Amino acid sequence: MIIIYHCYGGAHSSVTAAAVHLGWLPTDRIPGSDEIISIPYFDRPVTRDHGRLQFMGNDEFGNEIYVIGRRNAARVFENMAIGMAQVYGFCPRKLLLVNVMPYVNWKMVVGGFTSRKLGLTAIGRPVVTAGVKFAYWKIVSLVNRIKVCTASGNTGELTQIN
Amino acid sequence: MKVFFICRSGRHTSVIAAFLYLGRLTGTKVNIEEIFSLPGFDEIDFRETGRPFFAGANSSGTEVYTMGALSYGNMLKRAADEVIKLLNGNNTKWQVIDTSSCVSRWTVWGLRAKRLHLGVLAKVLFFLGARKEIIRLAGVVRTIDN
Repeated sequence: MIIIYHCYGGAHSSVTAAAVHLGWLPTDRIPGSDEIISIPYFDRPVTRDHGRLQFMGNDEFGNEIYVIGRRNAARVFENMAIGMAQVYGFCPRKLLLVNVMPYVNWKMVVGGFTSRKLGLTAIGRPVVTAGVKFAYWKIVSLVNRIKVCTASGNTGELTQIN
Repeated sequence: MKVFFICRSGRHTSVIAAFLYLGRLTGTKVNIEEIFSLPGFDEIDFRETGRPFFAGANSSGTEVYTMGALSYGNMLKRAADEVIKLLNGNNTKWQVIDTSSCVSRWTVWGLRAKRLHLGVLAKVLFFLGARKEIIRLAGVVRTIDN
């Protein structure tokens, strides 16, 4: 199965969710700032990377985990991906699109804008990291839900999740 | 091969581009009946924006689709390329053409009128837009490899 976590820029919330999914971040405590910053692609993509799929790794069930930034076009992106799966005869049940935006808080928005758009990484990165810590349990809960559903094969109604 | 045309709505500029490519529209002068008789033209459901719409296939088996992208044409083109690469590998050739740069202001105003349920005004604006766009689209379609 292909699981795509998507958010505005593909730099913070979706990357964190993918890292939790792949076991790179703990699920029994809130990780430290260093652990969060050391995730591959965390706070790295810029505007020209929006729309590019980034492969993060394979989970313990062999699912391929990707992240993508799709600006404010969540529905357009999901319609496109599901439509493409139909056009190419790919079973829609093997493609799971997970919108992480509902778990994004104002610290992540302000920190992400400052770091990625304005290029003031030294100011923005600590703010966005604090935001990730604040939203961490919600992201872990989302990922756990995805893992339980994919492991049991109960993804019939889960092609689009948020 | 599959060709995907992208525009704001997926039911206006890209539909004209698709039928220019398929050879159903030949000249650059069109009348209102010709435009509104194109399958799929102006049959818009804003909730379905982004979903590929099958416009037709030509004699060499090339399938042509249209897609809406709102104002995210560039980003969606990249995303579509990446998703196709992921789902299809390199099995069949494809091209994603972003026609957003050809969208005229008349069409943009037509979409606004459509959202406000001003159907007749929207139709007039779409026709005026189509007349402007068809010349630019003819140039874009000529650049597509067969």
